[in-house]
Amino acid sequence: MMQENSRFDIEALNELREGGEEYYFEMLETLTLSLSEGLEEMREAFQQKNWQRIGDRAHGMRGPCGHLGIDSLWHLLNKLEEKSNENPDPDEVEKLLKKTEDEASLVIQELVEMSSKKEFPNIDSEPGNT
Amino acid sequence: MSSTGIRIQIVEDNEWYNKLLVHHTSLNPDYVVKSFHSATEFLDQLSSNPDIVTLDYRLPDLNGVEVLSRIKKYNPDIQVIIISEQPDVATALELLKLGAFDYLLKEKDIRNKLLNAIQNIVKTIELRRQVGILEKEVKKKYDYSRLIIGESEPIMRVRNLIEKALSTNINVVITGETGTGKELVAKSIHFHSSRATNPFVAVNVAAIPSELLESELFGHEKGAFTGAAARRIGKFEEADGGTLFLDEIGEMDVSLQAKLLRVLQEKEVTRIGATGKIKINCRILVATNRNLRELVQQGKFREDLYYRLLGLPIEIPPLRDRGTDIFLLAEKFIKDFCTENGMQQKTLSFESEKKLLSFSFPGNVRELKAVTELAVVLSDTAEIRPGDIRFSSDDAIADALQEELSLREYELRIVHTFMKKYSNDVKIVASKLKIGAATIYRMLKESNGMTREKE
Repeated sequence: MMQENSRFDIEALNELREGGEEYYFEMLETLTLSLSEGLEEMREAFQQKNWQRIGDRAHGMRGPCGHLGIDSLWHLLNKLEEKSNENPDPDEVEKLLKKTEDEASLVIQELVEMSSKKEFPNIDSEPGNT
Repeated sequence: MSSTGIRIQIVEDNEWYNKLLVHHTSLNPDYVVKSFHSATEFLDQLSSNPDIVTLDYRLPDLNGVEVLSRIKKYNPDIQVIIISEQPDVATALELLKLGAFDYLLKEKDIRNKLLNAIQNIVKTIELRRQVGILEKEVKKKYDYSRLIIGESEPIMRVRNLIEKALSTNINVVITGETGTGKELVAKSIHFHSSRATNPFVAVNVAAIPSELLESELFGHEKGAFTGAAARRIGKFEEADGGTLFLDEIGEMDVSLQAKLLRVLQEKEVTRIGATGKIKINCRILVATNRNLRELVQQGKFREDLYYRLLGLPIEIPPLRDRGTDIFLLAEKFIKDFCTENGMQQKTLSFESEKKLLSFSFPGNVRELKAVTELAVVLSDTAEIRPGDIRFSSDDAIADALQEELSLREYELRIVHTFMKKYSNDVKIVASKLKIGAATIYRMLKESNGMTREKE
C-alpha cells in the first residue's frame, strides 16, 4: 500500500507492476540502491570539489525520477546539475546537495516501505484515483 | 537481421533505466536484447554487429556524438536511437544528421515511443533486405556472363568489350541488327557498373514522334505548350546518377541532335518552358542498327554529335554469323519456356537443329526465341521435329528453300500459292507473276492441279 502523500506517480508504478511482481520489486530495489549510491558519490565529489562529477551524477539520477513522477527530487537534481556546471558557488551547491539528500532520503524511505511490504500498489485505494 | 531475430543493444549507464529499457524491449520474443553500462564496454564488442542500438546521450566515458560516429563508421546500417534526458534541439539535429534514427527523451511514455521507433526500424530493415534481394536478382538477371549465351568468337568479343565498358564511364555505341540484344547489352553494362543502384532509363528514339521526343528527353514545365497540363521531368533527369540508353539514335531528328549535343557538352538540361538549368549526371549508352558514319556522310547525322558519342563500339553479331550458338540459345529458350509453362522438357531432333542452322533469322535472337517457343507448343512429343519449326511468313521463302526442291517444283508451288491467294483467278495471278495465262495453265496441268477459270 502506498503512502497517502506519496512522492511517486501511481500510473508509473502501475506500469512497472505490469511487468510482473518480480520485475516490480527488482526495480524498486534497484532505485533504492541507485539513489543511495548516487547520494554518497555526490557527497564524496563535493568534498573533493569535483563539480563535474556532481553534475554528472545528478543528471544520471534524474532519469528514473522523471519516469516515476518523483517531481520534487527531479527538480532538485536538475538544479544541482545546473549549479554544478558553470562557475559553481560551493555554498550554493552544498545547500542544494543538502536539500537533495533530505528529499532523496524521504523517497528512499518510501521505496523501502513499498519493498518491505511486498505489496503491489492498488490504484483503486489511492486518494484522488476514482 | 540475424536468423535468430532483431539484435538490440542497450547502452545506458543508469542501472535502473538500463533495466527498464531491457524489460520493454525483451517483451517481444523476436528481439534479442543485450545491455551495456558504458560506451567502452559497448564499443569493445561492436563487431557483434547489432541491428539496433539504444544509446544514452550522456555516458560517463564518451558522449553520444562520439559513440554514434564510431558506430556509423563501423557499419552505417546499424540503426541508433538516442535516448536523452535533455530536450536539446541543436544536439538532436546534429545527431540526426550524423545518422541517428530517432532522438527520444527520458519521459514517462518512453516505452511506446521506443517500441514504435524499433518497429519502424524493423520495417526499414525488412525493406532493405527485400531491396537487397531484388538488387541481387536484377544483377543475376543481367549477368552478361550467363545472359549472353554463346561460345562463338564474335560473341566472346562482345563479352570482352562489355567487361571493358564496366570499369569506366566511357560512352558506348552498341550496333547490331534488330533482335540481336542491344538493350540487353546496355542493361548488362549498367547493372554491373558503379551506377547499378541508380536508374536505368531506356528511350527508343524511333518509337517516339519527333515533336514529342524533346519533351520526353528534357522534360517540360506546366503550360510550356498545348497539352502540357503539368510539369514533367525528362529522361535525363530521371536517369540521374544512372544510365540513359538511347536506342535507335540514328533515327533522331537533326534539329534535336543539336540540342542533345549541347546537353552532352554542358551536362545541363533546360526543361521546355523553363529558364533555369538542371545539372545532370548520367552515363549515355546509345544503340543503332544503322551505320552512323554513313548517316553523317549523308547529312542525316551531325558530325559533332557523332564524335561526341563516339566511344567504345560494341558490335553485336547477327545470329547467322554465330554458328552453333544457335543451338545453345534454342536449348535455353526451350528449357525456359517449358519451365515457365509447367511443361515436360523437350529437345531438338538432329534434323530440327539442321533446319535452325540453315535459316538466316533476319529477326535474330528475338526471332529464334519466338520460333522455338512456337515449336514447343506445336510439338506433340518430347522431341521437336522439323515440322514443328515454323518461320515467320516473311521468311517463308527461306523456310521453303530448306526443302531443297528443284527450280521447277518451286515454280509450281509459287503458282499454286498465288492461285489459292487470288481464288483461282488466273488473270490476276498471271498479272501478279508477270507471265502469260497460258503458262499458268500449262504449269497447273503439269502439276495436275485443280483449277477453275472464272472467266
